[in-house]
Amino acid sequence: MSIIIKDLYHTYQSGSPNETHALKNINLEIREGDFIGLIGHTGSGKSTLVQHLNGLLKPSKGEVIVDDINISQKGTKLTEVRKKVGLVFQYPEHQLFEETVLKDVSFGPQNLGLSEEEVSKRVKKAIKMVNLDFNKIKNKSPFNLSGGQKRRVAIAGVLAMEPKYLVLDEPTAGLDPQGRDEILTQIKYLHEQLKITIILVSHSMDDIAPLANRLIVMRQGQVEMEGTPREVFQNALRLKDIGLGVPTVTQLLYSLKAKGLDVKTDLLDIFEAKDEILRVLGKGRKDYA
Amino acid sequence: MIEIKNLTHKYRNNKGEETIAVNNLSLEIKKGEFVVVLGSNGSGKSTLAKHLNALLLPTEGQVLIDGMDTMDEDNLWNIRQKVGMVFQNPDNQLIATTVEEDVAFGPENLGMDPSTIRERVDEALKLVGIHGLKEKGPHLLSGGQKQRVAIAGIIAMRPNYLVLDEPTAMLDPSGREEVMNTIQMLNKEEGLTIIHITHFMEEAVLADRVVIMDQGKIVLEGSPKDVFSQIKTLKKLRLDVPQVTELAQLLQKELPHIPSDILTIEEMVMALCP
Repeated sequence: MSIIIKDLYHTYQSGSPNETHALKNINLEIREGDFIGLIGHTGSGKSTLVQHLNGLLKPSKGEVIVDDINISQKGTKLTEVRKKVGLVFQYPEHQLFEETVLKDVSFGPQNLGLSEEEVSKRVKKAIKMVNLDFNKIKNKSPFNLSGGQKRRVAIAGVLAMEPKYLVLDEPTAGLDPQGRDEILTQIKYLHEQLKITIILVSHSMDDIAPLANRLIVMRQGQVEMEGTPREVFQNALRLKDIGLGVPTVTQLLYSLKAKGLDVKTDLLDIFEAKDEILRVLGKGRKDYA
Repeated sequence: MIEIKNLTHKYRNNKGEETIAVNNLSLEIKKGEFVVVLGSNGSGKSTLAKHLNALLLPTEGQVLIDGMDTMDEDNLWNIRQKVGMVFQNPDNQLIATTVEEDVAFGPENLGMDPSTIRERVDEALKLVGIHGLKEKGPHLLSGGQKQRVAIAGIIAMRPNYLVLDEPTAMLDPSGREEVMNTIQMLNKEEGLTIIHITHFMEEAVLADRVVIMDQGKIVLEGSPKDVFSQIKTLKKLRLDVPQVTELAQLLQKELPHIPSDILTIEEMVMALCP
């Protein structure tokens, strides 16, 4: 099963002088078990694209098919799609509204028409999934939590719907380094342990490089590049042209190569980079001693 | 000069419980300096920043802006004109229907005559590089452009100090670069004193001085090189270390000539390919 996007176009304010083509001719398949990094500049169409995945927006042209359900076909129950695809927006904590964490996380599953027992089971599980202590936090007001905690509560609200596909739009924006690491660790856990398919929208190459198995780079409403992180970051110059940049380590290796040091450039973290630099310098080690 | 002397700030919640956000903190910021304040969420950075233009007043201690005490209400207008603030979310700071009207808001409130306002607005817009957008609606701009409008609105009041509270947190990489280039230019060419709060280490590297806060106190202070070479301490404080610095310290174990205080890719390349 997978999400299939075929010849997708989306036009805002069609026919008016402000007509904007937000998406043009998108063709993608998101397979079960994927961890997709969706990258692009502000205005590149990322958010418009992800809002198609659970039917919040409908294609102007083309098709979006979620596990055989075509979202734009007449008679399609969008609730079915929304059960499968959970969407965590940017700054999801702005959407918290209930008096207690318990009520807030229950809101989604309650609207799915589940039994009370099932709802409470799912809520407990979801709060645990984002690494919060259910008993300690359930009766607290979501507004009295720290930024990182609020965000985790908001994510729990989506997880309680038990989606198969989870889309997160810039989940680390505005968090401090610790908050960011916590959220990324949680997402990694959801993918590896609970086998949830992840679509992560991010600006940060350093965050996304070690996590995703496939990157999709968008530009001006189109897919500009697609491939594994190593493949995509090989196109450092093109990424820079788009204003996206590459991970720090990739940038360093490119600069070293330009200076005549024969290093590989498809490495993603500092430990790989250290070994590679030592390997290349290994021969001339005596000169350095 | 900004002098912060033994500043303590306590918040009280509706149950009457006290939280100490800033705890007996002293700091001097000299004219023309570019100071970056780092610290995890809840370390007191924003509370400190809000004392610099009297949005918050000390519970204990004193804040002096060019000798003016923020506790003295007669100084309020002067202090707010001297110390401009830019916040994280550009959408919460822009209020008018066009860019130039937005930038004019501050000077209008200072009661200047219309021709001076016109002059100041044009000057400020040119300085931050958005003069071409002056008749646009702020809602049509990118995040980086919006923050530059917010900065221009402050520049138009000709402040001595610019305090920025995570101005790049909501921007994409190119928006961040736009804003950082603008801030650096204002510091280097216009001599504006900058107090910049951020989570991004790449931005802190640009500062003259880095101040790290934890639990309301300053725990580390110095040049970027002094501060970022202390990887263990930074990690303990739950802060990032520039990746290049971390790599330098890994390499140093095998290649002793690599300095441990490398901050940028250029420095690393120089060290490896002399």
